[in-house]
Amino acid sequence: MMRRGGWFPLVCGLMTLAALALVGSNVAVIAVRGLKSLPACLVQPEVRFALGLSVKSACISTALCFLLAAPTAYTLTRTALPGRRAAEMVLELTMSLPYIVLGLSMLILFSSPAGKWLKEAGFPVVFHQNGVILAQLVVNLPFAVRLCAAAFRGVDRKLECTAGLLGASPAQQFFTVLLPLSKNALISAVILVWSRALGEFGATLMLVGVTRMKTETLPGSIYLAVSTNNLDAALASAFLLLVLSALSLTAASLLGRSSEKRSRYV
Amino acid sequence: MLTVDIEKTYGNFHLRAAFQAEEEALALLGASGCGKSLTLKCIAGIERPDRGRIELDGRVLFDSAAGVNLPPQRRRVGYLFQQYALFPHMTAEQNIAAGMGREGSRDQRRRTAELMARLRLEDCAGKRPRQLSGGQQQRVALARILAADPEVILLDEPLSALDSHLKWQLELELHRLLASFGKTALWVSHDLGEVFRSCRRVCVLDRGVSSSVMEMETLLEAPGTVSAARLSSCRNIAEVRPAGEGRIQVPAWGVTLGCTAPWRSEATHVGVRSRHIRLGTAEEENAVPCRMVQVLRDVDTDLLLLQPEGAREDAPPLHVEVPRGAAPSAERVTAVLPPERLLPLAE
Repeated sequence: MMRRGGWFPLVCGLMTLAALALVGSNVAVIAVRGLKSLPACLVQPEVRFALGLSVKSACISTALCFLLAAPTAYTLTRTALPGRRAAEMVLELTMSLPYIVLGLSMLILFSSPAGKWLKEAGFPVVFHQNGVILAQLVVNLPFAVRLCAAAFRGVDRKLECTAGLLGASPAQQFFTVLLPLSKNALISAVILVWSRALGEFGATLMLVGVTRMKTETLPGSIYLAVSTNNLDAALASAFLLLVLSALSLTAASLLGRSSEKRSRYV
Repeated sequence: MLTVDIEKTYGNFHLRAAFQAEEEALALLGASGCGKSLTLKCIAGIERPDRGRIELDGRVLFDSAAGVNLPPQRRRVGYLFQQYALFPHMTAEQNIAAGMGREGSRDQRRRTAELMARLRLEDCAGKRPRQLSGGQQQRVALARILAADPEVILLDEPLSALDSHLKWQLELELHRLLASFGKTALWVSHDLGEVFRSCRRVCVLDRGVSSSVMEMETLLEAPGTVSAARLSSCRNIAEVRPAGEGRIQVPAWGVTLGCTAPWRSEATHVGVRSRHIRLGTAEEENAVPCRMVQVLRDVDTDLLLLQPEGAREDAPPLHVEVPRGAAPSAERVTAVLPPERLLPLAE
């Protein structure tokens, strides 16, 4: 198959094999060894608790995330907000910050008198499940805003103008034109943010730590299991994360494909 | 009645539009980039003028002095975008119903059906915009505008970028619609031919500045400015100097021409339409000896390109229209520019 003078494609092909081996072997290890220890681990209440907490907190934090991100993206893309550039820079910066740093700053914020007041008011954050959700929310928010903004920018402003000229208020323009037209991109964004929330560890570790049967998520469970030298339990949790990631990836690519098929309007 | 008197600066472009439209279809004519679309957007409330006032049937839509700036949804302005801007996620019927806002659903359905029948869209009701032909798309957009019951309709180059057959069909459609609309409509175009049949009056926009509103016939017979003459497809335009006794000197063509009336001092250019120049003899008034440069076959006439004998090197040739087959074969001809056909034009 090699064409004359085709050494470069060959080298690249070999590199590709090396890269796939490097990545794929990891997936294979978790798939094979994790699957083996899964049945034994699934009966353990700790793993079931971690799975439940992970899925629950990811769902809640993703919902909260988009509740904030969609209006923020609307403001950034559709209004002439003064200091928009500065707002964008703050969001960009937090996105490139290591999550453990974000977790540290949140720990300081919520250990402050304001945080203590929140705890007394019935909303404890530090070392509490609320903190898991909050950590995922803060880590994902800039990312979700960026995805929403990209989705909104893909919709022709003229269509909203037209709706406005036909009598639609800004809210009606948002719900009847902008949202339906960016629906596919937003669904993929939700899935992406959800799977990121599922894997969040750095900020969560800082803010709430990992306490068995209390604040133990799946990534936390892996961390605990490895530090107590229980490799089988770690692999079982890892396997669960692998399955959840695969599911969300499939969903995202299915929906992504249908959005590509959507033809450009007139 | 629509009264517009606005100013807006956009980078180094300065728009200064002032005109009044009765209950009529008024053409807003101008070359591309002259501020036509910007004017429409200011009227619709999509853009905000820096200064001025827009009034529609006694309602103030915008008044910078009084701090009034109605949002688009309260202006009752119908806007036909160039590409129609139909909602791609709705069917034709839903697009039309979207123009009606929150009315009783039975009433809404009845009016949608009425509009679809009026614009012959019954077969398209369940189709998405991308499944419709260009003509159907335009009709859906028009039905949607009518559904919102606007006080004025703004048409933004509705026929540009269409092939000639479809263009003609859509023009007939628009003509019919405007005739039955009975309120003010503004038709923006860069092509006189497009708006000539549907609009009786016209306002010319030249580099952001509007002219006074005039009859279409006036634009043809006495355009008054160089830009208006160009827009009414006057091909022979040259700078002039008054030469006294009602005569003008045209340096580009190297001639001095006689006029019927004293030359207006503000007229810096002269225009002559190609169909008004005829071939004649050297004895006639305003005879210009020329050299034949080229003969072009037009659709149903011949177009002669002539170089006047005394013309400057860089002067564009004189365009002369003659009946098909009447082009002389001679190398040298005499063009006659009748004095009553000379158009005085201000810059």
